[in-house]
Amino acid sequence: MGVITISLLTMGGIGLLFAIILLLAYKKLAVEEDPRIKEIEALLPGANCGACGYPGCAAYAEAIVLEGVPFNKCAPGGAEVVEKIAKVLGVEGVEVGERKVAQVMCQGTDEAALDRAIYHGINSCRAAHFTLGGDKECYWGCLGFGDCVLACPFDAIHMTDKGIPLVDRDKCTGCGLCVEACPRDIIELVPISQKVFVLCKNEDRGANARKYCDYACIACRLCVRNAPQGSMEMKNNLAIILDHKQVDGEAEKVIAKCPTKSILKLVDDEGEFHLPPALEGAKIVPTLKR
Amino acid sequence: MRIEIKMVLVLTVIALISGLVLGLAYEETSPEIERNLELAKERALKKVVPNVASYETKQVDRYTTIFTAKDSSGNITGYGVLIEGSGFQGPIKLMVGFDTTMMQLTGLEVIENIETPGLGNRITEEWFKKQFVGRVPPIEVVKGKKPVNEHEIQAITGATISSRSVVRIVNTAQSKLISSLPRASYSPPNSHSQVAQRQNGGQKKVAISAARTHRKIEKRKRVKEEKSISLAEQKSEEPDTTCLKYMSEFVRPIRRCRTIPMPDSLDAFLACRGAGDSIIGVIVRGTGFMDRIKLLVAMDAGDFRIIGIKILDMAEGEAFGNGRDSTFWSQFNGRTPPLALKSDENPSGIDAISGATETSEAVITIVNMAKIRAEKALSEIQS
Amino acid sequence: MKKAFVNGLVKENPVLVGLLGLCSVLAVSNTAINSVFMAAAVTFVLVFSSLIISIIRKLIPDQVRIPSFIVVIATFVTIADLFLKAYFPEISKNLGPFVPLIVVNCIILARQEAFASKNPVHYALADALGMSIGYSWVIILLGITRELLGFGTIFGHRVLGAWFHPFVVMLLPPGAFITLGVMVGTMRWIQAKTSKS
Repeated sequence: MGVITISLLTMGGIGLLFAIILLLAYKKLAVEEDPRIKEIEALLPGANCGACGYPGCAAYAEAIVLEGVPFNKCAPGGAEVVEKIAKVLGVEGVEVGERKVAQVMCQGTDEAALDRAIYHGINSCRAAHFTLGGDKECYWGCLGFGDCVLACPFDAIHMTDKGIPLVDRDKCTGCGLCVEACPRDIIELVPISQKVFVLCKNEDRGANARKYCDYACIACRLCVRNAPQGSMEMKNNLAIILDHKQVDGEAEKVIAKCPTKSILKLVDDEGEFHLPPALEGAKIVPTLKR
Repeated sequence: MRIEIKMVLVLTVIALISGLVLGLAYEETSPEIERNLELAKERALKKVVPNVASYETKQVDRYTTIFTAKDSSGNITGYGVLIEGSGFQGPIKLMVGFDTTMMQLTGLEVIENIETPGLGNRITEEWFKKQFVGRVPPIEVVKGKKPVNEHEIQAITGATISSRSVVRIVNTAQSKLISSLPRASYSPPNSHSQVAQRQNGGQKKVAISAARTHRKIEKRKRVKEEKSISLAEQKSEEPDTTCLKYMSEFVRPIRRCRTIPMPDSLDAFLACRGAGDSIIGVIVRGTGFMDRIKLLVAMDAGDFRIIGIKILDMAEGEAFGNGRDSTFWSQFNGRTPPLALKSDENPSGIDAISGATETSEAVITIVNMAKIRAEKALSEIQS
Repeated sequence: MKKAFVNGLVKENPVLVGLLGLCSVLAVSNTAINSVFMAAAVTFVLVFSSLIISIIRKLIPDQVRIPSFIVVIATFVTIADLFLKAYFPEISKNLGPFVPLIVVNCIILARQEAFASKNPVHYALADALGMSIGYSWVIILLGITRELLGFGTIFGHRVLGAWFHPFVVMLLPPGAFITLGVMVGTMRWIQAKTSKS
């Protein structure tokens, strides 16, 4: 028998044999996957940021199709993606909440806030925070090492030369990774239309706080008094906005009397965002990977 | 088409096409590959045996092929044994050249090996291979010093195991050669002239030994009346204590016992039980899987049936169970060399020690050598 | 398409960045000439497999994807092996079992799985060539280094004189690992320096 004949028979035989084995395996073991899962996964941004609450876009797609979870949870995807998913599923669009962006609630720049120590260690906010509470006098203030910058998958937050990070509202998708990254919960997700913000997290007594930060909230209660009833409160020496729509309605009045400029109107009535005074003239600086 | 059919079809078709392509490729290249193999073998044969005008091949077993080299007039000029054995990293294939007596090496070529480059690989270097020319198996490896006699070669520094493997394979080659080709081709060497020719620095020792042998044999001749190997008539000697020490384990009672000195100082002992009934014990040395093996093999002096084997030296760690498995050794009793491992072609062979095939094979080779030495020893007495 | 080609040379070099196919790279690179032939064999297999698989990619059902790739790859490897055995028997002996082992070289299967089976022919070809050259320069550089330091020769020609005591370790696995490690480390260092901060 020629070599070629043997070769054909052997290879053909093996091919056939294994193809049949695979066929049987496929029949017995194959899991039928709803093709919509792959379709929806392709529509999602693919950043695997976890804002939706699922470990990655693939998992969220699966949950949408198999478990019927609401498909408006993808903040980075936004309304556009929600609509497309709705089409795939053949349902009416679900209402998407207002777009949220991140906001850094601190004005404790290198110029404005005092340090109490010189820190030598890992260049990370989390590391510094856990090292005896960081090198800043203010225990609640931004340490400026840029953990939030490194956490952002959308390149939407950058460190400035003033030592406080700045959010790029055009790029920010509201995924919330920077919020998690900050060890001091200084960053919050806020509706993009919100105008008034308390840019401070300090809970120290006013008399102390003003000693080490120019922009600290000193709990003087002037803003709370001027805001509509119940829309703001003072808690732990810090002003908190409870109902931002009401506060925004009386923005000028609420912020007028603040002695330290810690409560500000950053978004004007046209919807334009303005830099807080502490960050006037700030330049973006690169944050090195650790 | 249905996914099931498509699956099977596509894979089978791809396999078929692959089979076709490979079949064609093989047909194209296999003549060349064959030719390369033959050329390599022939080249090696010519390197190890002088004056090869033509040759005959005889395949002895899966690992061994014997090439009988002939000159242009058809006379045998030597033998090349193509043999494969295991080295340190993998198999080693050698072409070992023997002279017409099958006792002396005429050359060595390494055909294939995958030993460590720069270390074990150096068995392919000229100086190493040249050592084997003129040597007489069974060969032994010495480390760190120059070889002193025709049984020794020097190991490669840092590649002892590879060196030992080569030696072991060479020894095996000789025993396979001797046991495969007709008796007529084998003639015992003239030990005196060989000894005189070997001038490897052991001159004095060898010369004295030769002289001693000569004297003793002359003495025997004077006293002996019959040509029979029975020693019952020899009455005028002291009891040979060395001989008794070794042989009394195998033979009792012993009427007469004498040492037959051998040119390489691995002596033989002849013990006489009664008229015409003698046992010859031969000391043999060889290389096992990793280290030396020294045995005393006792055989019937008439038909060379093995009476028993005593281990004189066997390194610990030599094979699993350190090779002292008595079921293995007792297999030899009652058998006549040459012996081989049990196999399909040889169902009555020796069962190897499980997990220690290399050692077992080495032992069998050594036992086969013992018979040859016994013959040699006996012929010396007779001459 | 150019991007697909350039990718494999440095940025996503299969050996130094992907750390794929290390078995063959370490094992046969003890002399420069062996490295050259190995690189040639890998290139041949990678390029042709990618070509074929890219061409028939739409025909292969997902369920028999992997066996199909392997059969194609194995066919080309066998052809390369036979070719070497017939026309370069010495080299074939030196390379030993590592030519057949190209079948399971991660680089090749990875490229088919990730690229060739999902992209049109010209992309697949570019990628295959890029990856092949990326693999080749690494293994040849490694081979030259090891031969130079281990024997004092390059391609068999004596370069370092008798004063040079060869580092035999370079010919053995530890030498290979250390040299490769240095190369990978250098690559990372260059990457860190040149990446956008």
